[in-house]
Amino acid sequence: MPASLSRVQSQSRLRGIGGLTLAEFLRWFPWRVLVFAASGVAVLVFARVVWAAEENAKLAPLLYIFFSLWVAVLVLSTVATTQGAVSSEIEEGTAAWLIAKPIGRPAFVLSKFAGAIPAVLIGMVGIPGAIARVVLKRAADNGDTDFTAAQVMDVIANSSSRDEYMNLPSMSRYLGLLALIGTLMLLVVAVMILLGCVVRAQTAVLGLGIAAPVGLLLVGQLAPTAVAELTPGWVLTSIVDIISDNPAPVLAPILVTVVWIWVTLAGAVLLFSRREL
Amino acid sequence: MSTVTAHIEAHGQPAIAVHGLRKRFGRTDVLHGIDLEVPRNSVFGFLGPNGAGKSTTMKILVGLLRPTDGSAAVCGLDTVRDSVAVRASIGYLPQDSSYWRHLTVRGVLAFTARRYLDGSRSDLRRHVDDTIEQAGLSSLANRRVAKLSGGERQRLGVAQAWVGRPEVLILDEPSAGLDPEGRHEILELLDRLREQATIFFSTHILEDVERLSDTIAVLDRGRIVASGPIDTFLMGETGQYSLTLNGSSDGFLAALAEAPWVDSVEPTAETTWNITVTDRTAAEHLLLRSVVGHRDVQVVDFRPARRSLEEIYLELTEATAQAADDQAADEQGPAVVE
Amino acid sequence: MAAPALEIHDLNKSFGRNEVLHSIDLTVPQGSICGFLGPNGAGKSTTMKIVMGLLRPSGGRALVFGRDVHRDGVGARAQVGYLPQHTRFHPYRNCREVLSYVAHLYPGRRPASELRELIDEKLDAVGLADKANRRAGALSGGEAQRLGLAQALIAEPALLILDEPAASLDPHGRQQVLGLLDGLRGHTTVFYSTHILEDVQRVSDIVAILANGRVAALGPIEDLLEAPTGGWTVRIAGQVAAAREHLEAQPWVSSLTTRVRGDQELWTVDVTDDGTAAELMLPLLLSDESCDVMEFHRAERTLEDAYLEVVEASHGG
Repeated sequence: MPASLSRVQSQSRLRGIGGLTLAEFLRWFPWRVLVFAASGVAVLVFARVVWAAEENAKLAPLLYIFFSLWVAVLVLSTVATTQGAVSSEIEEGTAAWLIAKPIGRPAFVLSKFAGAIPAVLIGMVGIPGAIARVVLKRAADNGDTDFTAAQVMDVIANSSSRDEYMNLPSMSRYLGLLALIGTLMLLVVAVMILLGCVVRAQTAVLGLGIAAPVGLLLVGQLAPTAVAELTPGWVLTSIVDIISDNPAPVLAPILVTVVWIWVTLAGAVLLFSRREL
Repeated sequence: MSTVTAHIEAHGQPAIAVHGLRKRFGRTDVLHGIDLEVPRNSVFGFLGPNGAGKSTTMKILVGLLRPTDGSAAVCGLDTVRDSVAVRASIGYLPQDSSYWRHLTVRGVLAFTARRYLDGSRSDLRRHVDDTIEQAGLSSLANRRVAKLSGGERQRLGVAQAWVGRPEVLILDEPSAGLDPEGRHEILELLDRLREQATIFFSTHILEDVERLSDTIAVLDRGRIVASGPIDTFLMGETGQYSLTLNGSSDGFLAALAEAPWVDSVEPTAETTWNITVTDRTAAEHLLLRSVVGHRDVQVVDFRPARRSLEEIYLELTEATAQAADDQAADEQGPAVVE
Repeated sequence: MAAPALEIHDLNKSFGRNEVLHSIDLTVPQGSICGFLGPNGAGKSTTMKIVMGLLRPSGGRALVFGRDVHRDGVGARAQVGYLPQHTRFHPYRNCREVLSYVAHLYPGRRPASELRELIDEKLDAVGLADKANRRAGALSGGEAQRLGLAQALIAEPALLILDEPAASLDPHGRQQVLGLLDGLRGHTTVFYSTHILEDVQRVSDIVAILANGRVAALGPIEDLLEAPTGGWTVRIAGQVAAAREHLEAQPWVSSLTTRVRGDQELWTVDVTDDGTAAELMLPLLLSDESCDVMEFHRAERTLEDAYLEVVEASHGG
């Protein structure tokens, strides 16, 4: 070993989390993130076209169509993208490669989550959310818009209703909506990591991953409010309320969900530390 | 055994020490309490049939599996309690190695190096480049893992095990599936590393073990059936040598047969004799010197009469197979003869 | 004289622009065991697949007992048992069913009882007797390899073409397979590829080395091993540094390479004058009381030396 190098000394169970997080982050950026951003914009255009086909188009249905579709697409594609985060690494043997290095097992699990945070918040929610805001605002202001390429512009220009529109949610409410969606996506990522640590077959991880948000939705809608508000289902309820232009809390459901995210990750760390590779 | 003890005394704790290690998967016992000691700076060949538990033992050492009972220590550190520190001193090549497919060869090595070593970017880069060259991967440095052939991947496997400059290399079948050049290159590479690290490797190719190892252990059905320095294995405690001479050797041979450490001198061919000795140390020091003392004879060929490792291996593993069958029959009570 | 078991003339094969075989010629006489060697990607499997009619040659021809594998493929294959590199079976059939199925693909009906006996015999020969009723899908890698060998043997063909029969087997399995091949010597011709040169050295009569799509060497093993290396092998223990320096200083020593083996060293000493070396080297080493010579003889050429030389030469040429 050359004299200029020294052995890494730390023996922490989080050892190696920096390098692993960076590696995870680089898997998201730029391609996956671009695909997510593009799919967000595609949903926006789709919603705009559907909305424009209606008579007496009002802005409220546009908001509703876009956000409900978008959240569904985000959840499904996040599940699809993260289903292999842990399980495929175990199946292909790359987890064994990594864990045979001086890396703490918790570091491996947590890096999966940490590496996904920027991609989820910026790429999946932030960028499409910002674009959506511009387009929706233009539509709301009756504006002909020079927002995208000619055809998109054409669709938007021809379909914008000049007689009636509702006010867009105020900026702070809109940001709150994006924060709710971002939190929900992070929960999905955490759940997928947990599933990867428990279930052996990747397809099972995928199936359970799809079932989980549906379950959440049901809990949020059907359970007594007091119970629902202890679960991440509350976030979904709030999202639905905001896009239906009803009043809804933002901060409280986010806090509850963040607690659930930590519980999920703690479970994943615990299960992975006993997992034989 | 004396060599092992001498090694331990000279180098402190053994590189790997395993005591009463048991491993059970469900209801199957894979390891039945094995003991193993790998001296520092030795090349240790780990042999055994398929399913004997070699990979399981190695995986326990690197913390991929938990022992059911017993303990394993690497450089004096417990593999469960000091898992991270243990892995900091190990470079491991799994049997079916796989790496992130999107990385290049250099990428895998750079990532791995940073897990073990601290230093400036340029120093680390230079270190990685050195390792790439040492492993003969220079022309592949920028190739993606997904595009490597089996042999290339195996060389990357050894390189990524070595890039952190660990004290112990644990290699699970490093030469499996390679063509003769690939195998030759890997063996040469390991031979070059032997002075700098302890090498603990498993293989099915006994010739590789014979060529490379100082010490071996044979695992069969979860039990160590033999271990020790390879010389002791191949020669036994008493020794036999084959000696081919040129010149008039009668007088010399008669004198040799009289030496106190010589048991017998028997001709095996016209100018070749088999010499059985009672004391190997004395024979090693005195036998050839006594020939050289005679002006009219010349040594053409002198070598220990070794058995092949394969012969010994098959004998060992077959003996335990027999014993296991007998035991199974005993447990079933009186055998029913049809 | 009887036609050779396998005859390959001027055989070419290209995949697109990639020429894998450049005009190879190869003859395997009846009753011999021929080890087919070469680096990964040299074209060994391709050659075997052409003989089996799985690939079409781009030029040249291959004959099995005088029958052209391209024009009379069925007639040629009726005499061949083949083990591909990666064997696949219908996973739901058990070992016995796999063998019975394969046996029915060959000409000549056998009575059921005889077939049953034959199947038992082959299962026993490859060490699968206790797994006869196991489904092929549930076999381990080594067991699947054994079943592959059994299905190649089942019709008792006159020629066996085996692509890496000992791969993925442990020493017992390897020994069993080699013993099996050895037992076929004389009445069955065996043409098999392998990467384990020690196996070839043990059971083959002739060796063919394929490198860069050309036959780089073909002939009895003894011919390959004949050329002397001109060096000496010394295994030495003790305080050897002074002895090494002393020896290196001799005018008749041209080079000395050292390998460490535990507390001993293994030297390969190349000399300019063999007679002088034979006479002086040992006394010189032994005059140093602090080291002992454990082994002393002319360096031997292994099949590995010969193989590496041949392959290297073919890369150069």
